[in-house]
Amino acid sequence: MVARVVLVVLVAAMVGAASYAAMRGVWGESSSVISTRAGSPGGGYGVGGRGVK
Amino acid sequence: MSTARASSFNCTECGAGLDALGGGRVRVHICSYCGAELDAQDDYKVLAKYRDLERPASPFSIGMTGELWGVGFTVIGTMAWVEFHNGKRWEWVNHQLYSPTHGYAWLTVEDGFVTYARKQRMASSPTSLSESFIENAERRPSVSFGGQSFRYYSSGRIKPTFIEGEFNYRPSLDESARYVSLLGHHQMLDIIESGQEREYELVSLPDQAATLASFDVPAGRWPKPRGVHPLQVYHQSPFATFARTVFFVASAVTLLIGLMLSGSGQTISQSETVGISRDVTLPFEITNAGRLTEIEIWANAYNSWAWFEAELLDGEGEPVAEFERGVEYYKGSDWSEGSQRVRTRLHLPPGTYELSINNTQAVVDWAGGTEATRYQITVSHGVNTTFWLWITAVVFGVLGLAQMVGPVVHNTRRMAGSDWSDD
Repeated sequence: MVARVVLVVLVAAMVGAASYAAMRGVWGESSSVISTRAGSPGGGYGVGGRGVK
Repeated sequence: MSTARASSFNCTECGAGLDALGGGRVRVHICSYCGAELDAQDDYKVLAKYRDLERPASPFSIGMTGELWGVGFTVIGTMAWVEFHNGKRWEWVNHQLYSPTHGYAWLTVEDGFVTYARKQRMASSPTSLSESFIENAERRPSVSFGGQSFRYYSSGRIKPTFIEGEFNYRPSLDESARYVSLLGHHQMLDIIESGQEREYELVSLPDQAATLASFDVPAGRWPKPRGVHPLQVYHQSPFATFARTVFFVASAVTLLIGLMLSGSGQTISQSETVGISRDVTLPFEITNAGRLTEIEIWANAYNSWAWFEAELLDGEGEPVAEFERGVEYYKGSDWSEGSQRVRTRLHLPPGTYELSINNTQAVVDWAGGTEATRYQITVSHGVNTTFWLWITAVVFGVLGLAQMVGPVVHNTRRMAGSDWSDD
């Protein structure tokens, strides 16, 4: 019984985490946007971005 | 002439003391010491002599007693059998069993499995499957027996190689037999044809450990099963069944959430549709942190492309980001490539922003194309990245399917010993 409860909790947690990541837009940024904000550490918004202009 | 059975007697050939364990219907008794076949119905008169036979390996021996499904049995005889086919050799050992209340039966040891067989009085329909019928059948043949259907498993010719102890018929080393094995749900049906006789046996797979323990087989002599026996039905653990259900439900729920979240996002600012030569400046405000903002450029490029440059300023006029995007769309009679919409997504902290976009180039590079003449900018906020949900749904679906692989593999292994081929 404990194993079943643990499984359901784990699965529910994974569904919840996936939903949260989807709604927060995790890894959803476009890859070719260049951050130009002063003090940006480079990379900016883009995954593989080309750094601070 | 009938002879009263004694519990023990001396071999009429060699004088060795022998136990009579098999009740009043024993026909012959093959002496364990000299191999003389004695007529149990006629004062143990010597009928034949079997010498220099190689004793087969078996965890059971004559005189052992044990229970099968609550019925007490005594091992009274041993027969070894061999089958040759295509250069391969199969061997197994049959032990005749006797129960004062349930009569005679067989305990067989083959491939490390112990099975229980009992002769049946009724016949199957059809009564048998001939070699030619099996050879020419397009589908796996089956017979009906006792209201159950049994599907063909294997067939061949077999020959005894060793005889010892008591039997309720007269076995012979010189006589070969043809068998057809058919697989039912919980039992196998063996049709055995020898000379003019045809016999039917139902074979069951008893609890292996309980059977061996009941017959007091020492642990060191327990046979080691090889592979999966055809009668071993797959038993999935209740937890595995539960897990499979949970995984499939989770997969379905995740898909549903994904469908609900896909395409969402609230339009917070939209420009007019303007001529391609005009610059667009579009203010918007972000109020919620941690959500994706999407900037979509639409242009009416057709078999052509148009290039745009964008700059994003914050409320104090400081540049936040810049990017370039190309709209390219090509279409043939039965194909299309690209899109008239291109999207850029980025995380922006709450605040006011101003987006400036201008077209830098518009080129027709395909037959029948038209240059983009108009474009429009739309800014949305709260856009979701649903691929997380698609990935999770696939993972749970695969995990659920994995719970179904076990039975498939098991059933494949169950049928591995069958000589039937669909080809």
